[in-house]
Formats: sequence, structure tokens, C-alpha cells
Amino acid sequence: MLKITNLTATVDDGAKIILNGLSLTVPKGEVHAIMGPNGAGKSTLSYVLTGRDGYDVTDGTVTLNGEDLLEMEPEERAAKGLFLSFQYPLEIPGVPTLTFLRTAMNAQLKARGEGPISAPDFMKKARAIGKQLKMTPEMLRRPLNVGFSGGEKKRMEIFQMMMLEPSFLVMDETDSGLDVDALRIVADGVNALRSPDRGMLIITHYQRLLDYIVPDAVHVLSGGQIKASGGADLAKTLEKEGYDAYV
Amino acid sequence: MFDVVTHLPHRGLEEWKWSDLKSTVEAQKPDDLSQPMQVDIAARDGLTVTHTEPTDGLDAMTNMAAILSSGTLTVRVPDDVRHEQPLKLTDLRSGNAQIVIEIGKDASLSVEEHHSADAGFVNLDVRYIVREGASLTRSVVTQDGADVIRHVRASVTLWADATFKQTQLTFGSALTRLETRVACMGKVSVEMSGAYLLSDKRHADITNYIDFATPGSTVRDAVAGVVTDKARGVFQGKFNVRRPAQQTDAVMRHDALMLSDTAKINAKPELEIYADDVLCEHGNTIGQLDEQAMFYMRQRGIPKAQARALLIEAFVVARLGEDEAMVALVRDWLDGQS
Repeated sequence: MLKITNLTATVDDGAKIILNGLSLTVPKGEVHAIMGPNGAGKSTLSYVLTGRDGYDVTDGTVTLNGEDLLEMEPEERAAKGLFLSFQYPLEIPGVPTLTFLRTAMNAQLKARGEGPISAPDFMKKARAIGKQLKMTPEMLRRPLNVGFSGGEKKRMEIFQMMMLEPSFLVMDETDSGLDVDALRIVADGVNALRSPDRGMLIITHYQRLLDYIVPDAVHVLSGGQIKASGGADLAKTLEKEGYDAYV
Repeated sequence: MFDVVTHLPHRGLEEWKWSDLKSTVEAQKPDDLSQPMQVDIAARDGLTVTHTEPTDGLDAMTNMAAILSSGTLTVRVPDDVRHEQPLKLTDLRSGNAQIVIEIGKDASLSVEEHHSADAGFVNLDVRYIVREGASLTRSVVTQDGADVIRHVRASVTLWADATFKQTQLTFGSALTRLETRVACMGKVSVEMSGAYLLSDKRHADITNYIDFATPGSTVRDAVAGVVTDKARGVFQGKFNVRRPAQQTDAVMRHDALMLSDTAKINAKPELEIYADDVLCEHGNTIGQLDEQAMFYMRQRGIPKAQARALLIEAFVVARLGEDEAMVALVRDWLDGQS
């Protein structure tokens, strides 16, 4: 369970408040969507949860399965099972995708006190998931995300997510840059990961993705706070009426 | 005994403005400054070794090598002899030496110059003559102690249809200068890569001058630098394209990472072009590790030090090439930094 209480965060050394007393609980097994206008603090929320530099948390708490996330380094949060699918995945020249991912996987296993995955087991898993996401072996051999289209990068995020099997997913604008076919592949991947042990937070500006990944709850984020919460229908209302009522 | 120190190049000379050999020698006072270097190269099938008259000329460093060495060693590979096994010039660690290596027509040789010294002064002048259709592969690694002063100058003359491939890796010292001067005397193909990885107060200088005298040569020259602590990296690169050297295709790159605010990098890429139908370019970047890439890797669970090492290794290998032994040395250096 992810529990955010009264989270307040600033940037530029406190000059600007981006999150302003945000509270939200996503129980295990549930998929929640956060929707909001541009500048509402959506991406900031994903970065504060994952521990990126440049954001100061001035108030509030965040726990994942009862553990204080804010005290942890980004890699410790990842080892606890927190995964962020980036809005703009980075290109890492010179680091082959599978080398990167195996390094990440083994680092997480080590942090959890487990032994590394064997090379054959890793390759078997990578091939199976790659096939499911319609990725070519060539894509997996290339340096991470280098020369990939926006859609391919998003698919690579889902690939990593399925490989790492995190306990909580944050997806930041995963639908941006995807055509309908890619969207369906991505959504199928995400839906396959839905399980009673796993929570998800889907951050999106548009309702489109939620046609494919139907959430248990929808929250409206505006001005750094949750302004309204409802069921999946709320997303459709927002799509029709916009965010004016909440700004 | 004439005073060698007064003749040493210093920062008042344009080509030495960032690598002040004279003041480094004055500070270190190496006792082998005027000594000859012991060099033994064994003859073997298809490779003769003779003592020849020294060649002086270019500047004080060449003159020192010519005058202070115990005679010039000349290695010859006859025409058409292609060597599978490399010639190893290893652990040349003290004093002055001049070596000539001549590769006959359509012959080939690879030379490994791998050196590590604890202290002292090294001035090595190597002249490579690569005849028509011949090929030279040169690999240089220096892993010296912090007090070593090392100057290595390779003057490479390439005749028509020759190929030259060079890979250099240095971890610096009190002052290390790896200078390569290439003369393209026919249509030739040159691929040079290099990297310096420097910590503490180490200094390394990679200087590459390439002179094009005739049409049609292709040159790729890429150097990567990584500096941390109070280290200083120097890159000087120059293409001199003479009027007859039309259709020259030459690219020079220097890319460096600064890992601390107190490290320094000086770079001077230069093009001097007198021919009008050429494709020449140079690029030079100096930056820091990509913080966004660091965060991305850490978000996937890779600890900070490991993420940093992976990014630096990728940066260096992309430019230096994937020679396994060299990549292993880069990794060792990175392990020592974290």
C-alpha cells in the first residue's frame, strides 16, 4: 500500500511550492489514476515519490507497505519495489539494454539479500517478455533507448517493468507519444501486471489510456492537491468538461 | 656536461603551454634526466634489429633522445612479411631512447608499448616508417606512479596505401605527454583513438598532429577524457592539410567529463586547411555526468557509485574502442575511484 499524507514539496530552494498538502492512499491490488491540468504537479509527484534531486519535501510523509520512502535513496526505493515509468525515458549510449537491466535486477536482488539471477534464466525471461511486447531481439541488443522512437521508448519502460516485477508502479504520462497499436500493447502489458499484491498509480493528462487500463479510482490533482476523487467515470466527465472546475 | 634542464620545453612555447615539462622537471628533479634508457629488442624471424646513427631535429626532446640515448635501435620488417605476434616494447621506465621501426612494403606489424614506472624521467622517441601498402597497429598504455615524468613521441610516416591504427590509454603521472605526429605521404587510412583517466593531481597530455601532403587520405581521431580531484587533462589536435591534399576526409573529436570542480581540462583542436576540396571537421565537448541518466539508473535500482561507473565506462569505451584488456584497465581505475 502506498500512503501519502499531507505531502508538501518545493523547488528552487523553497521559492516555489509544487505539492501543497497532498494526501492519497493506494491500497494493494488497486489501480488509481491521477489526472490534472498542465502544471498541476503530476510529474513532480512522480519524482518526489522516487527521490529525484532538486525537490525539497517540507512537510508530510510517504510510506510504501509501512516503510518511510522519503528517507531512502532512489536505488533503495527501487529495491523496495517502487518503479517509475518515465514520461521521457533517457537514452544511455554505450550501455546495452540487457546489460543495464541485468545490472539493475541483480542490484535490487542484492539489496533484498537475494542471490543474482543466472544468465540463462535472465535471457529466457527477457526473450519471453520481449516477444509478448513485440520487441525485436535487435531492440534489446542496442544501447538503452538509443535511436528509439517515442513509442519504442515507452514500450521499453514496460519491458523493464515486466522484467523487474515491482510491487508498486508509477506511470507518468505513459500514453504520450503512443499510437493506438502501441497503446494497446503497452496496456496489455500493464494489465498483465495487475495483481492483488501490486498497486499502480497512473498519471495522465488525457482519459484515453484509461479506456485500456480501467482504474479502480480516479483523482483530480490541481494546485498541488487532490481536489476530487471518484470512480472510473470521473475520468470521462473530466474528458468532457475539462479541468476548469478544479483550477 | 651541458645543462639539459635549460633546453626543456616550457609553457612559453605554444605547443607546450599547458604541459610545462621544464618546471615539472625542476620540481621533481629526476636523477635519470640525462641517462640513456636500456632497451632490448630481440630479433626474430622476419624482424631485424640493428644499431644506427641517431636522428636529431624536431626539437629539444628529439635531440635529447638522439644525444643522450645509448644509440638508436632500428627494427626492420622486410617487404611482404606480415607478423601475427605483436612486438612488445614494455616497461621502458627510465632515461632517454630513440627507436626506429620500419615496416616494409605490404608488410604488417603491431606494436604494444605498455609502460609502468614508479618514479623517474622517460623520454622516448619512436619513429615509425610505414612503407607502401604496409600496416601498423600501435597500442600504448601508461600506468605510471604519481611522480613519473613521461614523454613519448611517435613520428609516423605513412607512404601510399598504408594503414595506421592507434589506441592509447593513459592514467597520467606528474606529467605524461603522448604525442603522435603523423605525416600522410600518400593516400592512407588512419584510425586513432585515445583516452586519459586522471585522478589526484595527475597530468596527461594527448597531442596529435597530422600532416596531409597528398590527396585522398582518411583520418579518424577520437580522444576521451575523464578527470577528477585536481587532475589536469590536455588535448591538442591539429590537421594540417596542404594544398595538394585534396579529397582529404578527416574528423577529430575530443570529449571529456569533468567529475570535480577542481579538475582542469585544456583542449585545442585546430584545422589548418590549404586545399579547397576536403571534408574536415573537429568537435570538442567538455561536460559533466548526465544527472538525468544517473537518476534514471538509480530509479531502476543501480546504486549511485555503480551507475556512475557504468556511465563513465560507456563514455570512454564509445571513443576508445572495445579492446578487452584496455576496457579491463578502465574498469580497474573506476573501481579505485568509488
